[in-house]
Amino acid sequence: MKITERFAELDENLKLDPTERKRAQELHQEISDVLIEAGIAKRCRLQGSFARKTMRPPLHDVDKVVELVDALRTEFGGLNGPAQAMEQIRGVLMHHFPGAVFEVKKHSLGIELPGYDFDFDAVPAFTVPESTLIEIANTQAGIGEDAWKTSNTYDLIDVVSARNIACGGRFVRQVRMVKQVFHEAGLSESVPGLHVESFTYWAVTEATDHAAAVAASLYKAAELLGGTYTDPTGVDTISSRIEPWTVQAVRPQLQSLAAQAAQALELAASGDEIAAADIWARLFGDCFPAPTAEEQQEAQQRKLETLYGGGTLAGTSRPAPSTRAWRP
Amino acid sequence: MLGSFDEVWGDPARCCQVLVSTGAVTHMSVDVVARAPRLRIIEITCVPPPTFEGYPVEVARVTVFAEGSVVTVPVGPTDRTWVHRYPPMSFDALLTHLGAGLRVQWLNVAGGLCLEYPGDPEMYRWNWSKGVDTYLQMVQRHLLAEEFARRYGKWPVEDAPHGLRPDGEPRPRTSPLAWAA
Repeated sequence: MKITERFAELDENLKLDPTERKRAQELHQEISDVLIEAGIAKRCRLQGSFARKTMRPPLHDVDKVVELVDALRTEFGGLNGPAQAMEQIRGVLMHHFPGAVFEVKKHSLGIELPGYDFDFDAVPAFTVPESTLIEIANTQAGIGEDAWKTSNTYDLIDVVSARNIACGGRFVRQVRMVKQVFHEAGLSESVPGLHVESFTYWAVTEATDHAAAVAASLYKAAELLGGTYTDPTGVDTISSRIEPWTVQAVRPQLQSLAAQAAQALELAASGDEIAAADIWARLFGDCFPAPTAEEQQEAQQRKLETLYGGGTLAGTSRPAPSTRAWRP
Repeated sequence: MLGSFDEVWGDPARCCQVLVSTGAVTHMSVDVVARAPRLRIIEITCVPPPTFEGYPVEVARVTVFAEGSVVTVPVGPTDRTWVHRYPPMSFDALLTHLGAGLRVQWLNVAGGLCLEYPGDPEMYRWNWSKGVDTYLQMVQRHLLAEEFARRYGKWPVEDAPHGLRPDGEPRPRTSPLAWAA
């Protein structure tokens, strides 16, 4: 199996279950219809990694923006406005979805619906006239702070979508791959998905094959973490959201991951695709098809034939004579 | 040429350092463990290169004698099988040989590796003109081949059948370098 075929299989394994995705989209539409009919929302839009198609499976939560009708701006303008907006949304949805469980969070109303394995995070927001910006709820705003905080989440979706088109549709898949490496290395909690997506965005600017894109992204991650960087819109400086001690702990690990990916690229370029695949399998875990025992044996045999036939392990070495082992 | 006999004999520590620092040998460390009037002993520790994921770290001692002969003995578990290695001589056998006034070679006593077939032409054998760097690589690939044979039950490249031909002629290569890259 060629390395490109292995990456194609990885790509498939990192797609959300299409049935689950469809259910989520239908449910999103149903919630939207209910809120619009109730006169609370004028429109709802998906946001977050689900909307940007950069979420790795399994589908766990779906972020959506509930664009409130403009008439509610006065009513919800105070410090308690966001909580009141969420309460209104809750009041409407609990009748339509009996058994639903709600949780007021900082920016969103968490919605768990019985019978679904994924949750919704509904973010109440007001649109800004003549702008792509929105103002999202902030239930934890203190005195002197804005209860409605400006967000460029729609710009983020557009920017990522544009990059994906520029990369021939590969970009979002490669984000999922890089996220998988972070997940496998146990770094998902320390380095949230948007950061990983940003590293990939700044590393991959044109159509690139998957292996090179992942290696470049890991290198970029090791380079950027600890410095100053923004999300893909170039507006939000998200680097400050990771604590310095987390950076200290994570950076050496990232450097190691980047070095392994670079080694895998070198091995594949020198024709040793099985050794490269071994490294990728370590980085991606079970969702990457590791070489079979037969493939390992063949690769080892070929390598030994090369070493006995004038090849070396490194370009800096001179070939040893082609001896035959023997015993009297 | 790197690592002549004179260099190894005269300053083995520096030779070991140069071998590694120049990349003449890779995936191994090289250290001097003994320097005596009639011999030098170099220990190599080989880590498996990328293709050989899961292979053990191998340690071997390379003894260079004053007259120029070289014997390499693997160090490590004694319960492993070997395809091309002299069986180490038991203490009783050694006493018997010595008692009978027989000459005993270090290769036989310690169980050295059989790296080459003496009947092959010179180009397919090692000598000091080819440098100790190439010798150490021969040891390294031999240890990999032994592990390959343990795992898959066959020697990965053409080897010479054990023993001598009854007519005393050299054993020809069946497919000269057919396995070469």
